[in-house]
Parts: sequence; C-alpha cells; structure tokens
Amino acid sequence: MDILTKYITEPFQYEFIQRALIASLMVGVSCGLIGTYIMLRRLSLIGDALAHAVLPGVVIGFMVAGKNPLTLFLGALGAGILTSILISFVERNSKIKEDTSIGIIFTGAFALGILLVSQLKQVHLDLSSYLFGDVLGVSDSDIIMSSIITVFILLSVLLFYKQLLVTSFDPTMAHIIGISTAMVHYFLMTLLSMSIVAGLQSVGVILIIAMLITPPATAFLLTDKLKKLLLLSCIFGVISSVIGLYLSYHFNFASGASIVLVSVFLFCLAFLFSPKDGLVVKNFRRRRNSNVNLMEDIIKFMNKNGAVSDINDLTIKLSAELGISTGKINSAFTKMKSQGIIEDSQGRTGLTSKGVAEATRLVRSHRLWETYVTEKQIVSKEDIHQDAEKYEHILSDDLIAEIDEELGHPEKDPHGSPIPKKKE
Amino acid sequence: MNAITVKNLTVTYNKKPAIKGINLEIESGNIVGIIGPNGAGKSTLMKGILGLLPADTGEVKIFGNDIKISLKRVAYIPQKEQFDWDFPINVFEVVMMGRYPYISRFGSPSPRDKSIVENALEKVEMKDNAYTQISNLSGGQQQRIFLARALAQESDIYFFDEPFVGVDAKTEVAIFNLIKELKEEGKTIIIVHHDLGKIKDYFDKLILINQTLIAYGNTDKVFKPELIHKTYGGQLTILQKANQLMER
Repeated sequence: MDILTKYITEPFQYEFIQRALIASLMVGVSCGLIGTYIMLRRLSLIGDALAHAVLPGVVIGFMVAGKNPLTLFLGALGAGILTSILISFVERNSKIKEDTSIGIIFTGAFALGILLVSQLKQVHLDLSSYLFGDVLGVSDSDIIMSSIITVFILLSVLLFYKQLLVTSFDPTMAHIIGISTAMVHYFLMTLLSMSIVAGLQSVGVILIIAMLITPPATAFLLTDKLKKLLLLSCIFGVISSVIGLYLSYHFNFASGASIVLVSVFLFCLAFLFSPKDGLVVKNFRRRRNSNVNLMEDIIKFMNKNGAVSDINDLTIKLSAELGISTGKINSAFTKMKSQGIIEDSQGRTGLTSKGVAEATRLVRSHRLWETYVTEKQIVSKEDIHQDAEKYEHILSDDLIAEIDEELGHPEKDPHGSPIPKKKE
Repeated sequence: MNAITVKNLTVTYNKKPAIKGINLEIESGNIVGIIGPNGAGKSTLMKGILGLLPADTGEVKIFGNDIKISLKRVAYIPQKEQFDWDFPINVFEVVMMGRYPYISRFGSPSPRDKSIVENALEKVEMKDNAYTQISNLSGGQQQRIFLARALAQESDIYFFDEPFVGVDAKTEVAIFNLIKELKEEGKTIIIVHHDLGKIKDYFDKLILINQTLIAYGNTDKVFKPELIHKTYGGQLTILQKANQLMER
C-alpha cells in the first residue's frame, strides 16, 4: 500500500509536476467540451487540420516576441482561424470537396511552419516538444494562458448552448430562426484553435486531435444525453491526462503519446463493455437470452410429453428437436433443477408445479401472440407459428395482459387451440 | 394580405438554374401543394422562398416584409432523412427549438415555453415520449416531432418538405388532420408533395412546377391531365397514371 501511495504522491513534491497536473486538467476540460461539438458536427478532419496549421502562427509569434505566451497564442489563433476560412473558401469556389480542401490547406500551412522553423537561426524553438508535447516543461505563464482559455471555452459552451445545439442538430432550422450558421461555425473554429493552443505544451500538435476526438467518442458510447456527454468527455479527458502524466513521469514516456494511449485504452474499454452497446455486453446478453430461450423450450417440450424415467433419452430427443448439443441441454437441466423448475421424484424426471405454471404462461403468451398478429394482419398465416416461437420468449406479462385486453380476452387461437387463462 | 409573394425568382443550384423566373402570390389560409417530377426544383423553390439558397434574381416577401423580418412567422418541417438520428437529444429538446425565436440570446425556456411545448407534444400524441431519446423513435414518430416543433413555434406559415415519405398510414392521417386544423386557424401551409395520389383531398391550391412555373391556382382548375402532362413532360409513370384515374 505504501508503495502505491508513494507512487501517487511522490511526484507532487515537485513544482513542475504540480504545474503539469494543472495543465493536464485544463487540456482535458477544454478539449472535452469543444471535441464533443467537433464530433457531433463531424468536423474531426478539420480539427486535425487546424492542429497542424497553427504551427506557422506559433513560429511567427515566436519570431516577433520570443517565447511570450501571448504572442504565441495570438499567432496560433490567427493561423487557426485563417486556415478554417481558407478551407471553406476553396471548397465554395471550386469543385474541390471539403476533405480534399482540408488536405491541401493544412499540409501547406504545416510545411510553411516547418520552413519557418528551419530559418530560426539564433534561438532554436524546440520543435520536438511542440510536435509531441512536453508536459513536464509547462511554465507558469502556460498555466495562466490555458486557464483563461478553459474558462473562456466553458463560458462559451454554457452561454451559447442553444445556438450550438440547434446549429449542430438542424442548421436549416437555425437559419430560418435567424441564427447564423456561418457565424457559429467560425466561432467554434476560434474555440477549437484556442483549445489546441491550450493543449500544445502537454500533448503537442500531432496528437492533440486525439484529445479532441477520443474522450467525446468514449463518452458517446456511454450516453445519449448531450449534457452528460459534455461532462463525461471532460472527465475522460482529465483522467487520460492525469494517468498519462503519471506514466510519463515514472517511465519517462513522451507525455503526449502516453496521454493519448490512455485515452484510447479508455475508448477500448467503453467499446467492449459499455452497458448499452459494448461488444462484450451485447454478446453476454445474447448468450443469456439464448439460455433463457433454451430453458423455456425445454419446459414446453416436457409439459407436452410428461415426466420421463430416462433423462438421457429425453436429452437425446430434445437435442434432435431443438438442434442443440446434449451438453448444453444437460447444463440447462442442472440449472432448472437448482431453480426448482424440474425435479426427480419416484425415479421420474418432470416439471414441478412452478415448471407447469411457467409452461402455461408460455403457451398463453404464444397463442395470444398468434391471435394478435393474425387479427392485425402483421405476419402472413404461414409464418405466424415461427414468429410466435420467437415472441413468446420476450413478451412481458404486462404486454401480454395488454394484448389480451385489446383482443377482448379470446378463448381460442387461430388454430383453434384454447388459450390458457392467466393464473390469479 | 398575401402570405407569400414571389417575384421573378431564379435560383441556381450546382451552376445550373434549378428554377427560373417564378412568380407567385399565395393568400393566407390555404393548403398549397408543390407538385412536379424529380429534379423539377420543388425543394429548390421552397428553399429559395425561405432564403436557404441564395436567389440569383427576384425577391420574396412574407406578409409584405423581407423574410429576415418575418422569421418567427415561418416554420419549416424538414425531411427526416437528412437528420443524424444518433444525435444525443430527446424529443422535448427538439420541440423546444421551436421556442428559440422567443427566448433571448442567453436566456433559458420559461414555464410558458415549457407548457407550449407540452401542448404541442400532446397534439401530435407524443406526450408519453417527451423524454425519449430521438434514436429510439419510429419513422412516424420522427416526423411527428418536427410537426410538434413547428406547432410550438406558433407560426403563421408552415413549410412541409415531403412530410408523408416513410411514415405509416396512421401517422399520415394524424399529420394531415393537424394540417387541416392549422388551416382552420387561418394559417398558410405549403407542402412539397412527391406523388399524384390524394391531391384533390389534400390541397386547396397547387403549384405545378418543372423549372419554370407551369400553373398555379385552385386544385380543381389546375389538376388537369393536359397541365399534369406538361409538368411531367410525358414522363408520367404507370403508377402515377393509375393514381390519376383513381382521382376521377
């Protein structure tokens, strides 16, 4: 335990780590907020482009006033906005489509930046920390700047919530009610450029797009509510930054890379285990459903054919009837015994009264559904049995009661078989 | 006063004129259908009137004013196909957008806005689904929420872009009943319509268009084989011809 505590607290002794931590928090929040809108508006490519295209602005700022955060910021902001305007300009005034336009403009701007860097003779700008991030080299003025940026972004998202929402979801409606979609777009591009600047020092230009896209995408797998999405994006951004920072400190990793890899790891977890549509969860649900279906099919079969003395014979019959391996049927038997659905008595295996009640419920469900789809002409006559075989497993008691009510409590199904009444 | 006046409107789309020299005067309190073959510029006309596409020539007035002045008085019910239905938003929030023109720039919805939204949802029978995420709606329900949003906007003119595409018969009836109610309240309803069925049941007036205006007037005067033939340039499908026969 002590080792772990030491592992976590040790870095805090150093002031540069404290600064790095604050910077990481800022990056997580500002990128999480803006990234959510970038993702929803499908602007990921533009985000990537702007991240690269701010380079010439930063270098020019550096040429003018040295390592002054304000001029670097203004240079980056100017380059970002100019790039986003140029991208739309090319697209609108030629038959070049947006993705191609993005490719041309951002590589051009990035190349210009590299060319300018190579001309810096006397003081060298540390290009590698700019490209890959160096969160351990965060200065006080960097902190002040990213704090201002983060607060500004937070306020913008709160104040312009309605405008951002309607232009993202339905730009046509926005236009009609007098909200300028172009203005909101360029405002968002400004905020995007700002959040890129805030993340430059810790993550670097190459990877900053990951902080804009991956945490919101992770959050999107877990919720379909916008406010929750914004909050979760920030949280995942912050977690990635902080854990990435630790890894960077302890293992001497490049900070940008380790932050991004943590965020991708979180994405993978959500992709596999999200309660709503994670791959593993879906698979588990499918298997559980198929187990329940199998048990219900066995109950129906045993109800129809009565108790048996030879369970092995029953297993083989069921296996043939349902097309399922004997092993699966045996394990279903074990489960059904433990749940008190079947029992052995006087050398014979049969349904308990609980099992019989369950069988009656299934038959009722099956026959009511057949009656319903026949009456409403939802499924053709030849298919109704197959259809009911599927639906009998999923219909809830409430829904069955509703169908019964709607049909006026029918006595018989379309084949003329009696529909069992609900047990009181 | 005319609800909509269009003078010599030409709109270019992809460098080709999509509609040319359209003149229209649409009186209040009518249900007006815009009819024409695919690519005839039906949606372009609607978007041109709404200022969604820039006009090359001509002008559009809504109640005698420029559209920008009369914005609150116009509601647009878009085609549901153009939406991202995974967007993280619920029914109530979509319908609340209809109240945005009445809420100040940084303001939030008042209790009155909320009750108007609830009423609109009740009218389209979606009150029980108010807090359902839009990703969980059926096709008919998707169309209903845009109708509810337009109702919440309390407009005087309603533009529908093919409202009956991809909805079930029950929803189509429900939507049309609401459209009739709007008409009885004196509202103007413009509908881009894709087929020739039910024309006489639905529309008081028709705009027949195929790049240029072929005809505009009362449905019984305009919905004539020779004018339809002229609009569709002889490209009427068998189904359309059969529907026309049904109408007679």
